[in-house]
Amino acid sequence: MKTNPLVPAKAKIVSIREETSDIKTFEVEPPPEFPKHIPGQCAMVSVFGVGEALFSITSPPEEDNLEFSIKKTGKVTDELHSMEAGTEIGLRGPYGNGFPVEEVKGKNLLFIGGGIGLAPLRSLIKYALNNKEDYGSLQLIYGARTPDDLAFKKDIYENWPNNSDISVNLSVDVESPGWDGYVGFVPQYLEELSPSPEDTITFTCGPPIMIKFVVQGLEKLGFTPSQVISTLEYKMKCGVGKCGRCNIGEQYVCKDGPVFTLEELKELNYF
Amino acid sequence: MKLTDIKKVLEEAFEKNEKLEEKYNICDGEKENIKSFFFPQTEKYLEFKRTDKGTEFFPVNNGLVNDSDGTGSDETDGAKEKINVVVRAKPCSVEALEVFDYVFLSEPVDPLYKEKREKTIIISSSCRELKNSCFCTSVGIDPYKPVGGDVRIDDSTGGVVGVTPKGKDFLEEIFEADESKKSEIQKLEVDQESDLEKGNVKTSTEREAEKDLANRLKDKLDNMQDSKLWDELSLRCLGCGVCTYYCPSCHCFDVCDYYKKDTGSRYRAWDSCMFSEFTSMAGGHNPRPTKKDRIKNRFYHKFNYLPKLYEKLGCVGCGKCLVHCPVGISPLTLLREMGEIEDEDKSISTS
Repeated sequence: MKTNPLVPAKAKIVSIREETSDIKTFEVEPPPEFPKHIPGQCAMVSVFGVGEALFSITSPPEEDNLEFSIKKTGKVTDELHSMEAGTEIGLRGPYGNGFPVEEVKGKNLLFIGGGIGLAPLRSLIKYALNNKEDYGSLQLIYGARTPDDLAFKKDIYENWPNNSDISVNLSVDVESPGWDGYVGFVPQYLEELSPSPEDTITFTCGPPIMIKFVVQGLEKLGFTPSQVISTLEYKMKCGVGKCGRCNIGEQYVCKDGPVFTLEELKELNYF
Repeated sequence: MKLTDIKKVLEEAFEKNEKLEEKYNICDGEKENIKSFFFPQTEKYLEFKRTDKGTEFFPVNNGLVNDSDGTGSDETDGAKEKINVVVRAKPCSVEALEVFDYVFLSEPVDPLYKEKREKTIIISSSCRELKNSCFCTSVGIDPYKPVGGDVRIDDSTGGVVGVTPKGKDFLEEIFEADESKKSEIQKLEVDQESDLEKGNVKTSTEREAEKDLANRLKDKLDNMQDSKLWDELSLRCLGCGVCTYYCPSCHCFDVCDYYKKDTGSRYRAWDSCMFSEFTSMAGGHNPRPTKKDRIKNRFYHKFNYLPKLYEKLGCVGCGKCLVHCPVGISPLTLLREMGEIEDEDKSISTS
């Protein structure tokens, strides 16, 4: 008898880092049978007695432990935010297709993130930095409502700006005390920076409204739909293409996604 | 003698041999929704206990099902040990099972479903009660021609044949228990070379016809993205979800946790894509926010997405949604719009 794919394995929270007032990063020791993930893949995290939710894995595959950056938004995330290091949670996965890390070898990578949307991108950014020889130039445009809402502060203020392999552009939506960087929405900042589409693949994750305008901006800059890659977030219960919740057309975000090119999304009438 | 009531025949055989009664449980496929035998309304698959040290798992019934309390399946303890024999499984019900097999037996295989599916014996027969609300013929199903099943009955010839190995074994057991049944159940004459004798549930011609129809409807729907039909239906639909609960091929489910004191369980339960909360996320975003989105998704799932995925329709024309929908919406409305059926084909009005 095969094991039930819906039954999670037990995993221990090793450490918890506070990213913003409502985002925490959970470092989790994966169960021994958990396969190595591809950047952009997700895992179903269980709080026993409360429920399960799917989160992107924000750490790169080279690291032993998995990291999940989770915004306090609902029942499962509220419970996770009240947990301490050492607590046992459930884990199953990894799920989804992940970013096409092999196919984009040799290309320049442009990352565009908003708020918690940096979580899936961070796995890819760290992977690309770990495998720098495989990729061209790396650039990040990342924004949030206020400076406090910018996640992964150690990465965006220290690790990455000090690394000559990646350029970092940060923005906040509204004027904030002590902020001397760009003020405005991510799509506006993108237009101002106007990166070249030449040999470049762009990865954008964030709230649906941001993605919509970033995509318009990218098309204006001359990016073709096959050069634009995004991730979608849908409600999921099973993670394995059966519960019927996360489909766009005949594709299931949990197994055929969450990573899609703009070309694929247009075919699915998503844009 | 013609085999008119397999249920009666089996019951008589069971009476003569108690062992059969202990082993098998007769279920009536005409009275019950077959999907509940394989996909109960609620189905517990994990029990756990939270302690200071961590979480203890109690995988129940070999990690599969546990019906020990009210949060699990509503089957009785006695019945769960028995092998279900579904009699009078009509062509529409059996066809709908193919959709379930496609979803739950494709990788990763769902062992909850597989276990029950493998254990159950399906006796497929022709339909004896075609109703006004039935439209199986419009979706390519011949109600008088039984397909699939482990045992198949042909009312026109009075013959019965074991299709799958477990179906054949079951028939042998009945004959062993009650010799008189041998004369009552005539073995259907099948050609040694026939698909049926090879254990195929459908002939290649039947499969081709099915694919042709599925592809034709799929293509038509590809051009109906902007149809006014979706607006019209969304004004009528109440979003009650009754269509999905009665539908023999609807299979969407929810996963829920139940927790009291230190112990809890995780189970899955029927859910409906017609509910507004179905796709609504904790952050407030809902990719299918309107009734129009949800109705369209449901019909597209049955007449466009499933055909794209495996060249088969997700609707078997049983008409149950039509009968139970408080505002008379059913795939008939869509089939009419697609020009698949004429208005006078059906006496039941959908407006």
